[in-house]
Amino acid sequence: MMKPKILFIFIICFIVGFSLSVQAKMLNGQHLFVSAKAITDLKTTIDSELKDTERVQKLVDEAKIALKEYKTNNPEDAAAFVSKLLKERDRYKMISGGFNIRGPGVIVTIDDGTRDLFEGEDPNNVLVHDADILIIINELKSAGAEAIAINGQRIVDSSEIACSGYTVRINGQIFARPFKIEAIGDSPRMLAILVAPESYGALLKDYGLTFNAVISDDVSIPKYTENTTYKYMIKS
Amino acid sequence: MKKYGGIILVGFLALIIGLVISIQISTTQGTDPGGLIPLAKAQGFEVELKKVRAEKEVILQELNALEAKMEEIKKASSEGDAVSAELVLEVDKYKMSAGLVDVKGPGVMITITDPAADDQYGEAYSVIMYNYELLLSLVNKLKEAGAEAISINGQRIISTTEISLAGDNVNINAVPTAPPYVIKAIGNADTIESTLNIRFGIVEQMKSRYNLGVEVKKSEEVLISRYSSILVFRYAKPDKVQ
Repeated sequence: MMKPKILFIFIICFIVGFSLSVQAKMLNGQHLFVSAKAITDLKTTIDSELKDTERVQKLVDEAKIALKEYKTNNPEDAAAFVSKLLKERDRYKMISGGFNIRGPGVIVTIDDGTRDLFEGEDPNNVLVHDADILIIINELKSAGAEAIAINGQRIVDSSEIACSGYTVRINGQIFARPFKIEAIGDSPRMLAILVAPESYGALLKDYGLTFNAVISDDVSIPKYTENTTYKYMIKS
Repeated sequence: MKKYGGIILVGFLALIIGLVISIQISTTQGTDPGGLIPLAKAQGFEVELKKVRAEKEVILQELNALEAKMEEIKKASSEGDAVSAELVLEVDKYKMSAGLVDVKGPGVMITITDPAADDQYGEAYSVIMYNYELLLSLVNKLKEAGAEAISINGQRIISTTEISLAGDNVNINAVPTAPPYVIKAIGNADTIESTLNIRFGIVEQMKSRYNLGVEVKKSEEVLISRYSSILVFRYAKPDKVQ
C-alpha cells in the first residue's frame, strides 16, 4: 500500500522540478536577469528610431511632391526648370552656411575674469577655455539657434573649437579673448536658457569670468568662407 | 484505481501551485523598476527594436529611390544646357555639405558602453548620459582631427546639432538617444585614431576616470547616413549684401 504512494509523490516532485528547470532554460541560460537600465535604454532607442522614421516619412512625402513638380514641368520650359533648381540650390546653400544672414538673436560676450586670485588658486579658474565656449554654443543650439558665429567665424557642421595655449582655433583660424558669440533664433528662449540660474553662464560668472548676454533685433552673421572640398568622403 | 484518485488530484494541485508560484515570482521581479528583469523581457524589446529598424530601412529606401528618380529627371532635363547642368552640380555640392546625403569613406568607429552592471556605478543611471559633455568634447576632437562627417547613434552632426540632457534622455538633433553610443567619423583614420588615443587624452580619461568601455576601431569604409530632416529657417534670412 505504501509503495505506490511514494512512487506518486516522487513522480510529482519530478514533474515540478522539471517544469521549473524548463522555465529557467527558456531564458537562455547565460544571464537570467538584466538590469532595469538596460530595458530603459532599449525603450529609448526604440523611441529614437520611431521618431527618425517619422521624420524620414515627412521627407518622403516632400520628395514625392517635388518629383511631381519636376515631372509636370514642360520639358521645353527651360526657364521654369532653372528657377526650380535655383530655389533648391539656395535652400541647401542656406543650410550649409553659404549665405550672409540677418535676423533677431542674442549676442554673448565672454572674457577672462579680472578679479584677484586667491592664494594658491589656479589661474585657469579665471580664464576662458575651449570647453567653456563649446558648452555655451551647445546651449545655444539646444535653445534652437539657427546660425551661430564666434568672433565673426560662422559655425558649421565641421567647425572645431580648439584650445592651443593662449588662443582658440575656430575653422582653422586663430582667435583670442574676448569672445563674442552671435546667434540668430528665438531670442527670448535663447536668453532664458543662457542666463538661467543653473546655466553654464551662471557658473562662469561664479568663477569670476565676464559673461554677458543681450538680445538684439538685428544680428548679422557672415557666411562660411573656408572652401569645402572633401578628401575622404563620397556619396554612398 | 479509485484508491489512487485522491493522490492524483493532490498531485495535480501541487503541480499547478508550483507553476503559479514560479510564474508569480518572475512577474513581480519584472515589474520592480529598480530590480532585475528577466532576460526574456529584454529580448522582447530587442525584437521590437529590430522590427522598428527594418521599417525605417524600408522608408529610407523609398526616399533613396525617389531621390534617384529626381536626379535622373534633372540630368535628362539639363542635358545640353550649360547653365542648368552647372546648377545641378551646385545643388549636389551644397546638399552634401548640408549633411543631407548618405556618405561613405575611410574613418573610425567608436563604441562607448556604460560600466558593467555589477560595477559600483551601474544600474541606477547611465554614466555616459549624465556626463554628456564627454560626447560633446569627443565630437569636437573628431572635428579637430579633420573628420568630414560625424554621426552619433545614426544622428548626423550638422551645424545646428545639439547634445543636451533633457530629463533622463540625451537628445541629439531633438531625438532621444541611449547607450551604447556608436560614433562614426569619416576622415584620415590614422590621424583620428591617434588624436583620440593619445596619452592622457579623451579616451584614456573616459576609461580611467569614468570607468566607461571605449573601443576605437579603424575602418576602410564607414557609412554615415544623412540628417533625417530638413532645417527650416524661421528667424534667419539671407542678407541683401552677399
